[in-house]
Amino acid sequence: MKSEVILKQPEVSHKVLRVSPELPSKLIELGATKFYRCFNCGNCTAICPLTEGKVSYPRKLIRYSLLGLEDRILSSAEPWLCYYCGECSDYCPRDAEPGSFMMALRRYLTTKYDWTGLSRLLYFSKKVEVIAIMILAAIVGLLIYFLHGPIVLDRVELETFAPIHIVDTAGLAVFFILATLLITNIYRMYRYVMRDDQGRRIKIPLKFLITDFIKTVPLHFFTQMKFRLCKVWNWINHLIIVYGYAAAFILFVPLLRFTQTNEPFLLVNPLSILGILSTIALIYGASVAIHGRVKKSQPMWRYSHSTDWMFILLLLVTVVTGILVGIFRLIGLPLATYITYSIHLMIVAPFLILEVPFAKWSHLAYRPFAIYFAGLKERFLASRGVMYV
Amino acid sequence: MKYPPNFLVIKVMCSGRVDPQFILEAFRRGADGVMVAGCHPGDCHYIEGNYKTLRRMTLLKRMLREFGIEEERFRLEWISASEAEKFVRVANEMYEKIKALGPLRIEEV
Amino acid sequence: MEQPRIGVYICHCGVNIAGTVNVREVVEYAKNLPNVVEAKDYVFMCSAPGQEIIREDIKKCQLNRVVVAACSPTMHEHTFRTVLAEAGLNPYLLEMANIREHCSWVHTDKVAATEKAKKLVEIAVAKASTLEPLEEIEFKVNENLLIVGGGVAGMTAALDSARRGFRVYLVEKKPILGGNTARLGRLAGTDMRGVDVAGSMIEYVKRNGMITTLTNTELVSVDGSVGNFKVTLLKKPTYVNEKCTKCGECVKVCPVEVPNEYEFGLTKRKAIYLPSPASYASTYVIDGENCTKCGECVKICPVNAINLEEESERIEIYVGAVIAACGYDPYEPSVGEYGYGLSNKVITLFQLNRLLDPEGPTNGELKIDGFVPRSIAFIMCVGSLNTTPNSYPYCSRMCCSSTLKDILLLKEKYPNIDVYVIYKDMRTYGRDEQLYLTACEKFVKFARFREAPKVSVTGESLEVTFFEETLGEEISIPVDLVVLAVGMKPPKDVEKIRTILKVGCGPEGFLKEAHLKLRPVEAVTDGVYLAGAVTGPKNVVESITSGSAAASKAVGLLCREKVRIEPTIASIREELCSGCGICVSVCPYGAIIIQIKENTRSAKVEPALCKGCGVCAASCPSGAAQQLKYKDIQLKAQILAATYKR
Repeated sequence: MKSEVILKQPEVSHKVLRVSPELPSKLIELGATKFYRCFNCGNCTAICPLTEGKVSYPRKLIRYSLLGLEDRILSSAEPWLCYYCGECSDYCPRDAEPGSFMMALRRYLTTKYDWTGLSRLLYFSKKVEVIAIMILAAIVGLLIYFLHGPIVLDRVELETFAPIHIVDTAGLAVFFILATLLITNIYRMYRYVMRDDQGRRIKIPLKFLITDFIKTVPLHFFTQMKFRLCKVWNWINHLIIVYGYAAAFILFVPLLRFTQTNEPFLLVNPLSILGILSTIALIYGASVAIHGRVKKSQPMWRYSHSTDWMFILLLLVTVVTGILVGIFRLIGLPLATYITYSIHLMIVAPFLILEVPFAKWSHLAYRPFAIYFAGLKERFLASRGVMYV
Repeated sequence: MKYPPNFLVIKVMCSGRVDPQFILEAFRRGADGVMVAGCHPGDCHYIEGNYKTLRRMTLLKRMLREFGIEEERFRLEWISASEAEKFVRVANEMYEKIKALGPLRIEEV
Repeated sequence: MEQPRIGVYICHCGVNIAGTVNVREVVEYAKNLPNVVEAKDYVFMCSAPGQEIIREDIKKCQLNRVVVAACSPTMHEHTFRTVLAEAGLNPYLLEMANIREHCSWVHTDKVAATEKAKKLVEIAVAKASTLEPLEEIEFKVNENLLIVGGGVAGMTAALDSARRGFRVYLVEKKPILGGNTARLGRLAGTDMRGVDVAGSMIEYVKRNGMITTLTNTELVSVDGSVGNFKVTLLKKPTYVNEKCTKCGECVKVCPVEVPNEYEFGLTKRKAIYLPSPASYASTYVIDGENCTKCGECVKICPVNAINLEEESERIEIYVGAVIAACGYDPYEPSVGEYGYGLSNKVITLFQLNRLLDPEGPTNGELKIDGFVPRSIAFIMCVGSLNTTPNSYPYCSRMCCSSTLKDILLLKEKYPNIDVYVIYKDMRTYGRDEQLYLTACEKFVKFARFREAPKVSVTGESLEVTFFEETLGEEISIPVDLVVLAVGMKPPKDVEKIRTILKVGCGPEGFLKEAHLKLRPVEAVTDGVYLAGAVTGPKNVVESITSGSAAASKAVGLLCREKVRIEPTIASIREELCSGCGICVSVCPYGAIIIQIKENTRSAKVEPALCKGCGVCAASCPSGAAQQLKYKDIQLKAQILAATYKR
């Protein structure tokens, strides 16, 4: 049963908040398996290494969710400030898994920031995930089939088979589409988060919008420094993975003409070495994640949503096919190289297209922006003098 | 829980048994101070006895003032059986006050 | 009076006394006190050899008074009185001086403590010189038991006592037994309904020949005292006799309609009605207060079972003990409190319980105005925890468990109803914690308020607005139904019962037990016991348990052939009494009466009623009224001894 959102006059202090009774069950589907057990003791908030001053979670967010106060959830940047150290889950006297609740909230918010509705479908239906991957792989497969260059069989001529100008164009197109989608979603996030308790928009002067952006977003995007306050080893592992990806990105997007050549593949080459390091980093990251999720060794790996496995699987296939392309080039197996390369592209495309704007990878944008928005909000929101726990 | 040994105890079943003439007799015979202790109002073991005590002692205090006996020398206290610390505190206070006043020279009063 | 020959016995109590007080010095001092013929000390006076010393000396030295200086009388006064009795002395010729709790344990200066011990012994010796032999007064105990209140507590007490062979009079002011429990549906923690629990007890009560049940009967007065009460009852007429076949024709023609208290006001009944639940009543009854005596029912009754001329009957019975099991009343919110009375969509928890009961007014369907509500808000702590100005300060104990139990019942039947529980405190204690966990699993939403929520009724919908404590925000929830979880309050005739039985009330109005922990089912008045929710909120199990406990205590009294009372009671010398009546007015127990003998007025004490407080003695202007063992001369002797400077 829903009621209308009614914005009361500023003089009246009470608000009518929209109540969504389906919210708790949705969050359970998204991985907050036991959060209804919470009886509001606040131990989780007390133990969290990242809560201080007015920034406090997860207890309050659990309360909002249980009562179905969706507006409050949507206007919180806090879910993105949590790095899932899992201390809260370890200390919860009710075994309510607040850590996995926070993760479920992030999944939920991802489905809400996206305006296309595809994110929601991906998160709530395994079938849709699989079908989407297959469709995108098929499209890429068809494109390769119709657009590939001559197949040279006596030596490996990767550039001939996959002309750079085609791959570049396709790559740029994909990049722009993803960037546009992501930027529009970030704008939606901004609209949701930058609201006060009454639901009114908080107006930020342009000057501060720009200066705060410059001060926070690039720094957190590249270093994720808040993560180190959470669990240092997790932060380091994550950095390794991030820079693995970054290296791969640099090698295969701006530097494509130097890596995708007809030249023989030389191991002793700065680009190759970078490639190998990147591969090692990514294999390391994937293995740690798989091992952790199978053994459930840390709270953050105790519950794995289907989107988590999808991400790891796509990553693993991408990296393995990438390694194989390199090996086949090295030992000089042309057909094998071309086929593996095609498969690689057929996996990389859905990987990027689904994950970046619609699923798990969106956190690369939402997290740094959340820190940016949270900072703005704290500065410009009129203080109500209420201490939050 | 210690208090000065200057207090001698006479037991009655209820503070309502205490006739004001007993207190006057005690002062007459040379006591420097008299305390009447009973249950808290509302908690009287015999339902209402301590209300009677309260009325009588209020009147008695006025009389003692007329006689010239300092009001610190007579105390009416409500102390329940479980309030040992209160008794000790009251006893210590009363001792200090009466020590400061000195002996009651009843002949001169 | 004979010359007192006092023996003084000073106990070392190991080192408890002897460690601080120089016992030998005190013994020497005692020997020189007036009337003292013997003074001794011993390590543990209360031990067998210690007692033997006293016994021997009584014979050897022809002692006729004994002073024991030792620990507090509450410990061993009884022990030493027995010693005196065994040696042939009246046990009330003993005086004790407390030189432990009043001396060695509370003073550090050994010299001063010893001096004080000497004075305490001197005071005791002075009292002992004035002691007279006193006889305990004995009464024969009547073996019948009166139980006021026919709810589950009263019935449990009745069954327990009857099964032990005692005759029980079970008095109930309503036309049927069962009390509040008989109106309840499913109970928390079991599969049974309150109706069934009460029903099975009523069956046993009916079949037990030792229990005389008097329904529609009220208590008028109780005279006498422990072991011998004379009870006057008023049996009100139901105007319908056993010929009634329960055909129901009379109901159709009755013009008077009133709210049906058995359904907590959800439906109406006529002045002539079958008390619900229908299975208990053997006939229809007429509610004397609301009946207009129009006579329509008499005309229509096919078996002539109705007699509107029937009169009340006064009944007198004699019993030895009384158990008050008068139960509770549910808190009734006033009109406007949380919207109660302003909309039929605001109901109490008891009403909800009836609605969910398959034998209730809607046959177990939760329908208001024909519709099942889509969302329900339960407001807890109504009438309790000082939530509103009319509320009581205490927690009513059973409402949290009952509410959650009803919520789980309704979630079974209607899983999609959105339920909010708005509480000040959530106290599902003991095993009922499981109810809370299950409710959480079913997505019952819990919210905590600080100040009482406001319920606004706008047309068809209700909105509950409150400041949610755990979030620090004010929220407003639109719902289709509001259920007020009301607490328990003292029954409306508690003041009357209290005055008749001469028991006290606690600050909230419930009957007060003699001691919360040591004597929880006894009233301060001897012979009166308390069972069930009349002493404070209890759930069904707790009420039944306390009924058994009260029966056990009552039967313990009735088993004794005789009852004895301590002789330190008031005594009035007629020749000094002027009949002024001051003592009569100050006695808290009404134990003194004015009697007129040969044209003179004088006061007389009723020994069975006197509790020995001494207030009369202190009020008597002529000194005619005295308290035995605490007479004026005795206390003055003590004062003299205390202030005497040797």
